[in-house]
Amino acid sequence: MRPARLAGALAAASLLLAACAQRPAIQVDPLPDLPRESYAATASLSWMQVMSMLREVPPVSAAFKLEDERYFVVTRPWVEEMHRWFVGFLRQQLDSGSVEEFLRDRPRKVALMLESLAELDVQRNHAVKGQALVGMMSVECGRIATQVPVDGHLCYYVVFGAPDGFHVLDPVTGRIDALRDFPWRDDARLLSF
Amino acid sequence: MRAEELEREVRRHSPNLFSFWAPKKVHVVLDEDWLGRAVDWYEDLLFGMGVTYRADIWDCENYSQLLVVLASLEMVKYWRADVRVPIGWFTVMPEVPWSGIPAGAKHALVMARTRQGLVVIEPQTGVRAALADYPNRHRILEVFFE
Repeated sequence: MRPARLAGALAAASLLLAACAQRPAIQVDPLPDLPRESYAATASLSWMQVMSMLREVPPVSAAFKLEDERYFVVTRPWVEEMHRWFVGFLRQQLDSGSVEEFLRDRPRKVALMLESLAELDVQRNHAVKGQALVGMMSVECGRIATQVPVDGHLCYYVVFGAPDGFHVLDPVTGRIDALRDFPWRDDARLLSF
Repeated sequence: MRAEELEREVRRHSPNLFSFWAPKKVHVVLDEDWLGRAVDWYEDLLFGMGVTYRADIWDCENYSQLLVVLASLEMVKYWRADVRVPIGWFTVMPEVPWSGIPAGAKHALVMARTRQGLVVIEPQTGVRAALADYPNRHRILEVFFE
């Protein structure tokens, strides 16, 4: 790196480090409580039932961490509530333009958060072994203009199983479509739960 | 530091690593004290949610992913599209028990790069250690920095 550029980079790094050093204690807002009613408490599915649900949509590969568990469907209002919380938190921290830019740049964050919270909530409310049917779907970005491609070509959506089938949440806009109606379903690569 | 440097550093401690993924961006190293406060906050959050460790439930990746997402969210006010916070999660096949988690079954934990070096965090108990001192570092399989 040329000296002038190096000096610039060091100055930028110093500013960032200074900002970190001056920050007070953690300021993450408390997560909203997740009521038990947000789950269809009796709607846990077997592996075969999940496979049967997936057969209703065009062939998309699916990867599951475990294949011998019960799978808990989640409700659409819960997914909407958590996405609203996530976006609300970002709005407290960033200006509105930056919120959209952040979501376009890091759609996987939304999916990871929803998946983790859903499965911890299964543990909390049901105290049984089981995975929540919340995960992410990778899609070839090709025709998608709302996200910044990860690894140059992949876009990410949240996918979740609800009592009426699989749905897709656009992490940038918050829009929810049935998986069978998802406009880019032919470009989907993998559902991972 | 660049993603390639981060990977080299991880592989120096964990030469048997099967796969490594990190965004091809500049990663701004974390402050050790900040990381400690973030983990403490997270443990309080889990306690408040009524979520506790259960040996019979395979949910370690959920604890790990959630800590990674929330910790990086805390940094969002300093967000720039061209930088990332070096905190991620990894899988390991532990040879020896560590932080109250038994050996012998695949496990997921958190890894972060602070100014003091790479740190391993057990998100279910809040225990932290330098990667260099983590007894199962040679058994780490996959690392994902988000």
